[in-house]
Amino acid sequence: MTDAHALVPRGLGPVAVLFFAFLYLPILILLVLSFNANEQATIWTGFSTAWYGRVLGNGDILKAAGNSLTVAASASLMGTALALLAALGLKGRSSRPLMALVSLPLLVPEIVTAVASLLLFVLIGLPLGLATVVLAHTVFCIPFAFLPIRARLQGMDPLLGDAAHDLYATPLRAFLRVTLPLLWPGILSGLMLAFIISLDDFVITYFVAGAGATTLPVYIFGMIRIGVTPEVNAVSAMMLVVSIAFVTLSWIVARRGSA
Amino acid sequence: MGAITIRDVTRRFAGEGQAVLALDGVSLDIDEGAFFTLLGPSGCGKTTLLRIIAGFERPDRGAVRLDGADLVDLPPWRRPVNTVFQSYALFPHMSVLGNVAFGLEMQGVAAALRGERAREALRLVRLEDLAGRRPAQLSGGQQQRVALARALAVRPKVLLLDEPLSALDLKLRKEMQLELKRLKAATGITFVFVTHDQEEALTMSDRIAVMEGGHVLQVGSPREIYEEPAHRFVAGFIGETNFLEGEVAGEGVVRLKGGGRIAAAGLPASGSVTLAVRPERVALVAAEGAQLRGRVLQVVYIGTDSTVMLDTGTDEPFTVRVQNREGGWQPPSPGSTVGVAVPADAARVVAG
Repeated sequence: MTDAHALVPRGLGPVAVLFFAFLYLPILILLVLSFNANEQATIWTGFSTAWYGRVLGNGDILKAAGNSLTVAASASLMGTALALLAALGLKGRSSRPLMALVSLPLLVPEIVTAVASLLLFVLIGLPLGLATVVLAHTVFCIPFAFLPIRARLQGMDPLLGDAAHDLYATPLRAFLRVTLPLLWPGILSGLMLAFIISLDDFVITYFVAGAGATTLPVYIFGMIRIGVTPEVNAVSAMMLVVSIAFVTLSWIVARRGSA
Repeated sequence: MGAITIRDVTRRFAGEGQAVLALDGVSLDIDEGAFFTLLGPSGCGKTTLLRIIAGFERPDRGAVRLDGADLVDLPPWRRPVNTVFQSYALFPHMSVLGNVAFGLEMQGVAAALRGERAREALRLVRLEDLAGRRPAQLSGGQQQRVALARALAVRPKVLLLDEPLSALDLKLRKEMQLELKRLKAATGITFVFVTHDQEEALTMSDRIAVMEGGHVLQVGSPREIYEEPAHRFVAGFIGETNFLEGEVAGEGVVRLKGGGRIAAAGLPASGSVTLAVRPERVALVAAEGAQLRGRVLQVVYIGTDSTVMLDTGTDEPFTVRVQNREGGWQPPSPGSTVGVAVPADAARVVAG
């Protein structure tokens, strides 16, 4: 411990404070201003929850939120199901080239994926709408769901399968009674991660969403073009809370499973 | 019930560059109710053979029969054979009772009877109080006993044990050795035990098969394996042994390479032979007129015995083991020359 300290220059403690300020200050300002009573989003005049009321009374926002949840739920479920099957099918394969192949889509610029998805849908004549959004989201959900499931599977003692077979379990029953319960934390963690990534996607959605398929991020973008209102702040704050809740849940599930 | 016949079993594994021959035409007969040990160094094929009996591996060639019925085409979940794994392989998401009842559940035993039989198996290994715990909450020795109970609860005809004691400390290992002997007596099941520990094999087994390089070199009782090793490897792997090279020089006499002549039984008519001599079967005598003479290199006191290392003119020192009795004996001083008396039945001709 002391050895590791000796390798680091002294006096950098205050920099860490700056580091956290950079990370969280913008979000903090957004949260505070979402409770601003003033019409002008950036001028504080007093505390109010009126904007939250306005958001919940706005039919368009609720519809966009509904679309977002539908897309996120469908895409994360389908993506996780595919990721699970892929992880099971690829079990025991050499790790490095595989991981590179799976992780590559995470590194491809999102705008490229967006253009490519749009191109594909137009090429095969699929009308743009909620369905295309779900399809495009499923694609980028797969690697996010795959990684925790794969990690869980790799960490599993292969002898557990032998032990189940030895104790008269057919391959299907061994899978249902031993493999699946042990994979469950990885699956849930992947599912929730994929859900959040989908919920918050803007670029790809913007390209492949047709009329009537507006999701919440796309709707917020539209609102901003008119001007930053406290209403935008309030919607964003609500999305933030949902995201944090899911990420925390995903983290807790993954941790409990590994304990 | 529980007799295993293995005939000409061969198994190759794809290795780097070339295939590795894990088992090369192995044949064995394991009697029902026996405590049968497969003994050998790591990589000798003993675990592969066990996994073939369990059904986790398929032999490339050969037959495995249980009470006369061919097992090779049966998957592991249809063989009346159960395994205790080296790492125990307990299901971490189930309680101790859940682990022990798992096989019964898969066999379709009714729930009420299942609980009763699982508890009975836990009683057999004296763990009934811990039925509700998770495996992670148990010590290594307790996990070991759960693994035993889990395999015994389904009442197999044969119990396979893959180095089950190797992860335990010495004291616990001695305890579990006795425990296994007791369980063997209580159940009457055939035990096939895999170990690389020769002492463990000698203490526990009815019969031992010594394996090396995918071959079975010798099968016999612990006494036969120790006292009548047929193969140089067997003699060297089990206990301490002196090897003496020489030429047959007449009826029952061998002229040793390093000088000296000793009597030995079971010699061929002529040619060179290797003799294996146990250090505790020979005695130090006066140098004059002795069959074999050597210069004392070192005397090591090891409690019950002392070992005396001699230079008898060969590459390896010759070891003599002398018991330390009350009243004592005067150990020879290093550098002096002593004689060694080798009884004819102490020098055994070994192959290899």
